[in-house]
Amino acid sequence: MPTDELERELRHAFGRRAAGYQHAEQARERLLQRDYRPRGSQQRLTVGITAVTAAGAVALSLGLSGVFGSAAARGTGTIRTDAFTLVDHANGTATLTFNSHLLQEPSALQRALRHDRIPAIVTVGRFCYSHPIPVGFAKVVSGVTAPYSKGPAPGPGSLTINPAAIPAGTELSFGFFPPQNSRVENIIELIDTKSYTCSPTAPPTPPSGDGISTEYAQPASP
Amino acid sequence: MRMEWIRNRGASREFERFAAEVSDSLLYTGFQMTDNAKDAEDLVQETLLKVARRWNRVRSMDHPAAYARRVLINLVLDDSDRRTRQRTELQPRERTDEAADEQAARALREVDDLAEFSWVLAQLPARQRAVLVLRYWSDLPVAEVADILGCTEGTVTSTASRAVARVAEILIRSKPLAARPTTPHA
Repeated sequence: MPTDELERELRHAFGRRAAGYQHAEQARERLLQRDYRPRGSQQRLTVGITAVTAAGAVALSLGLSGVFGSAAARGTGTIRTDAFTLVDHANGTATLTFNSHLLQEPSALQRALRHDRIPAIVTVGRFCYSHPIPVGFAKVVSGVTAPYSKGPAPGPGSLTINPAAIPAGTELSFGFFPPQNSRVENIIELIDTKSYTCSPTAPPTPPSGDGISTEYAQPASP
Repeated sequence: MRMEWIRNRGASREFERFAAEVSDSLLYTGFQMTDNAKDAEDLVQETLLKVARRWNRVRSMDHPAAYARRVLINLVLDDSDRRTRQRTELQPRERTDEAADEQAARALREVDDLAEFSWVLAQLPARQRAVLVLRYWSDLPVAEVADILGCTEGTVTSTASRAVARVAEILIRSKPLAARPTTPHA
């Protein structure tokens, strides 16, 4: 495999390239307006924008205004998916609420965070960390609420991030580990952007003030 | 024959929510693969159509989003195969050494214009590009990339190595002679 340094450069290059993807929101809006259902007796799939009739528009208008990165959602500073909600506040901070057991697309959360000027690496099934852990985490992340405690998760986890407090040359690393034995583990730390390692095994609990490591029971399916 | 899920409002709503949830990720992956916003949108449209047709099966999968990503990647690869009818890029080859990786990392760091990186990616065979996008943009583990591409983990690893070596080679060749790294004397 390529060296860690090369992998880092590739990730950064792809990230910078994605930032240049203009009109993604409009593309998403157009896609969700289309009718992907078979229609009429011919079972024909109507896909063109021009085919969006009043009924067709309903098919995938989704009732999701203000949800998941729609233009309205971005305008109000809120990005919402099943797995997370990211609310951008006027003072420059952002509140992240998430159901980590639902997180399947780490890149979606990573992009949402970066959209809010929060440099971050989000991984599922592995965790990226630096040694030593950069200082300053406590100034970056605050307002941490459940489920950051042992025991059954009473609800989604929540925390507030202050991107202005992120030390230069560092970024946040979020590691979400899939449920094992009905238990979910999350880890959040600061990492040095030029020197970190990613591992499929969760590292030891970070010292107090340097990060967050939690384990809680996976909520039962409804 | 009427598709069952159409009669099932719950499943229909599930698909709608699913489409809303994955479209962003699919669009970006499509863009990374094609470097073209319109092509990315077309790819996602075709992907969602394929998923919609099979929603009864897909909805019961553990990771429907992963399935949709596989559909999208395979649409790109099928298109590429149709054009080239060449699959030689998936044949295993020896790994690159660390010096080559360092050279590639340095070359990537020195890329000022992202159009250059996009141009380099466009020079790669579609499967090599897919491996890089899935590994370093979608951040998927090797096993999952292998699953999507229908090959072994070893093939993914060797393809990634070959792809980054090719990226370095193209970047270095595209630079003026004076800017090229010098080879240390033995």
